Amino acid sequence: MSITSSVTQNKVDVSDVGPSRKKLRIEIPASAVADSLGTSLEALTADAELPGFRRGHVPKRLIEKKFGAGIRKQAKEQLVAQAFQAACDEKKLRVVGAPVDSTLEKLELVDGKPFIFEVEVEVAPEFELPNLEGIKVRKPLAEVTDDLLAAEVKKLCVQEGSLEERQSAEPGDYVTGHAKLAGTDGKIYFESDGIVVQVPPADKAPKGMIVGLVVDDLSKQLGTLAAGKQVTIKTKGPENHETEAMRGKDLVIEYTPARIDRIIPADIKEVCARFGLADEDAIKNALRSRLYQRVQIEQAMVMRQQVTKHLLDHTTMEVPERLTASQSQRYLERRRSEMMYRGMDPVAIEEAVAAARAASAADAVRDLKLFFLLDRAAEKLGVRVTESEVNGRIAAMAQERNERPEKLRQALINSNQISTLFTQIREHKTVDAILAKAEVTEMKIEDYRKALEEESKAKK
Amino acid sequence: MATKIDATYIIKKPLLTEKSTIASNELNRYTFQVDLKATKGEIKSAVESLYKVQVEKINTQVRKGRDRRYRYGLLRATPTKVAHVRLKEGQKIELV
Repeated sequence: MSITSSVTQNKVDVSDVGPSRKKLRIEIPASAVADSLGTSLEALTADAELPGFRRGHVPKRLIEKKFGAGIRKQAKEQLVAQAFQAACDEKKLRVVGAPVDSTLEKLELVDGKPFIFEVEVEVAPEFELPNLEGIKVRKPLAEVTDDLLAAEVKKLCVQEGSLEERQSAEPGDYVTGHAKLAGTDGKIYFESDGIVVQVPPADKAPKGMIVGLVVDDLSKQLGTLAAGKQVTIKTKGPENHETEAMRGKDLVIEYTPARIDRIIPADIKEVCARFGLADEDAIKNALRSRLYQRVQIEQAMVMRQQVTKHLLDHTTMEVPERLTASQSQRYLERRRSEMMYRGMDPVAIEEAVAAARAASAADAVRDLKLFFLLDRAAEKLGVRVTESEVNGRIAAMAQERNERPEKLRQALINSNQISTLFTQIREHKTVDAILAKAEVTEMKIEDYRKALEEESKAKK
Repeated sequence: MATKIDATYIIKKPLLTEKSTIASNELNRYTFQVDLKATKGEIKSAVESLYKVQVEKINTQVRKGRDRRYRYGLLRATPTKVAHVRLKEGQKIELV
């Protein structure tokens, strides 16, 4: 399908290049190019100061000779941005993410000639939003069980534990070393020092994670690790990896351990003394409130999942079968952000992200559908996110991770995850708004599990 | 036999200032920084061969180097020679 029009000054041609993807061919007329170049040149002439000339008295030709390339680049960026925005508005395209183009940089503005460029964009698919009112939702009652509390105490002891250097690695030990990830053709995708690998512990072995990839027989391939002894691990690139070139490829990881450590969990009495608490019960009491908060988050999560499942089951949408690099990255960032909010520890988060990379494309596509669905629902329900809500969420996450909120905020900004957090809050608020209009049935956690089991049996 | 000096050795660079730009537009007179030892004849043939124009008149001036105060005392910069080259009518040099 191709639509051409010239409602604005520019000629815009939109064509389909796959589900949720469009190609825009925009032609900016020669007059607009000349105007833009002239305006930029005049603006610079008025301000330019060169040796031998007073400000504003430098001849235009000299300015063009000295700064011509810069002026053209600036004018091009401005024209392209304006033309792209106008084209999206004119064609009513709901663009998701940044446009993809590799040729735009090579193109140059030429005075007196029209400027033609093409960009590919990811757009929200067309679909009908299901009814958002009266969705039936089960609410398991939130409670902090003794098992949960005991596990948290154990985790705290490990966190407060000390490192003991070892000569050779055993299951559960942490190894730090140099890793090089390459394809069988020799192309290097990643290389770095200080890469930490946990030798798969007994309950997870032989599956383990290295450089963000899940390897099914990691224990076997690692063998007996010793400092300075290089090991070679062979695996396959996960189907949803952010680097498209790695997907499905045979990969080789060369890993040279530099140091092997074992975490010796601290004694509970020592932990009590460190926190200035009398005994284990005091620690448990202190942990109970934090756990209660976490359980409530889990409860909300379970209810949200039911809403999202309902929405997905009742929507027909055409989405790509295979994710692009940007979609994969967004999917993994969403997963990471969600787990951070749930208070999972960083190692577990990275393991889960690695598992998500290896997960089936269907999961990732499902997540993509949900993204579009909730975006539309948020628009319909008029959901807005404020700066203070983002800061509040960061503060809650920082408390879970025992970090300072400013530090976590900066880390999120540096890793470009603030926008993911913003989207997450918007989605949570949207689902909560839907939940407010849902038919909620409260039940005990055991009853909830039973109901789930029965449902899955009935499906089979 | 005297060796012919390369034109680019004689003409160091054109001097582009507000004054020289006005002079080039209105009086057809261009200003160049030239080698200190270059004569008017050498400058003339250098300009003519470099820019493929015909020179009508040349005025030269030697600009004294400015005294500059350093931590070791006063130092005088090397003087420079400037040539104002007037071209015959209808001739032009594209400096910018």
